[in-house]
Amino acid sequence: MISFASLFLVGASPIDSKIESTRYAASFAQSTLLALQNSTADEFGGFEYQLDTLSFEPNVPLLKESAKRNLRHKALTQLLIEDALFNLHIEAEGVGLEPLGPSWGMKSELREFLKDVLDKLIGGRFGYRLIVRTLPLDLGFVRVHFESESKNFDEGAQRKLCSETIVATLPISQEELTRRIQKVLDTTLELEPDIGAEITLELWS
Amino acid sequence: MEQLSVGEDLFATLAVVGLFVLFITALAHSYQLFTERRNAYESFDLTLDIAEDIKNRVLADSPGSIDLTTDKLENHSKLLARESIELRVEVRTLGGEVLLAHGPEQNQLGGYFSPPCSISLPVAVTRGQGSAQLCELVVWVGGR
Repeated sequence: MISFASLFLVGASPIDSKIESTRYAASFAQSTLLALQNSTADEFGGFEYQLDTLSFEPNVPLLKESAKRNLRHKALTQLLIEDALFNLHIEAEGVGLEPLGPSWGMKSELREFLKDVLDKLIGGRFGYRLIVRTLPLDLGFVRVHFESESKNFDEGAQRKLCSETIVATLPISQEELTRRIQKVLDTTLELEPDIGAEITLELWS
Repeated sequence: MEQLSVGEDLFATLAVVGLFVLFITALAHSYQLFTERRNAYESFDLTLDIAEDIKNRVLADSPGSIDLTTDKLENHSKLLARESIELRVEVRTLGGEVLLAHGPEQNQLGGYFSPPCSISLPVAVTRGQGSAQLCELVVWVGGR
């Protein structure tokens, strides 16, 4: 009986350690998302990218400089939402069409910039995956959506501890967005009001 | 035959007492492990509660950002001290520069039975003119 009692006590745990680590991870993820909403790119040396307005590489420094877009004053979540807006993917009957604006270059540069930021904030404590996606807009034969992810997993990362999400509206009027999509499709459309974008941060152990 | 029987009885009694003492020692050791684990979880839970409270209420400026004023923190520390909880709070930049340090050094936090527990959370510190600096809030709790 005493042996059983000992075994029971050793095996028994007042609180599951998984619950504790999950609780900490959830709090950490919420804090990270809130911090990203409040901190500007300037904190991390600023963010700029080259507008993809010219089909050739200009050798004139003045032209190169004028095609640069400096976004050091923007909050990090604002950058993510702008990236989603400028790189919305349009599919007509399953065929992908060209992106909506000249800011295609933002995509890859923002990935690198964001990875640096997240590595500084989260790296070492947890593995992470940050997913930005718009709620897909289904208009029958046309589908408008955006999805991107930045992640840093160890090979050994096995367990998803938590997943926290914030939702934002794309900073563009419905009319302007409809006009941009119509320009690509060359047809008239009726859009839903407000396209939302979700920013989800998953933490892994 | 009589002497042999007494010896056997004595041996049997000693064996039973020895086993009993062994089992009781094992039980006491198990209970000690159990209480250590429970205390560790409770300290962690308490530290996380306090850290969230400091971030979301005591130092909160606007949702998600904090202000580095020590008055409220001072009052909060006094309230916790009444419950025999000692507190140290640090706000550090991601480069490691300490912007705010409040409370006794972590090695001075009274921990008669267990070492102080610490939690760190990312925060944005308000700098004025709408800008904020990304930092780390570290909270140590001890002396319970």
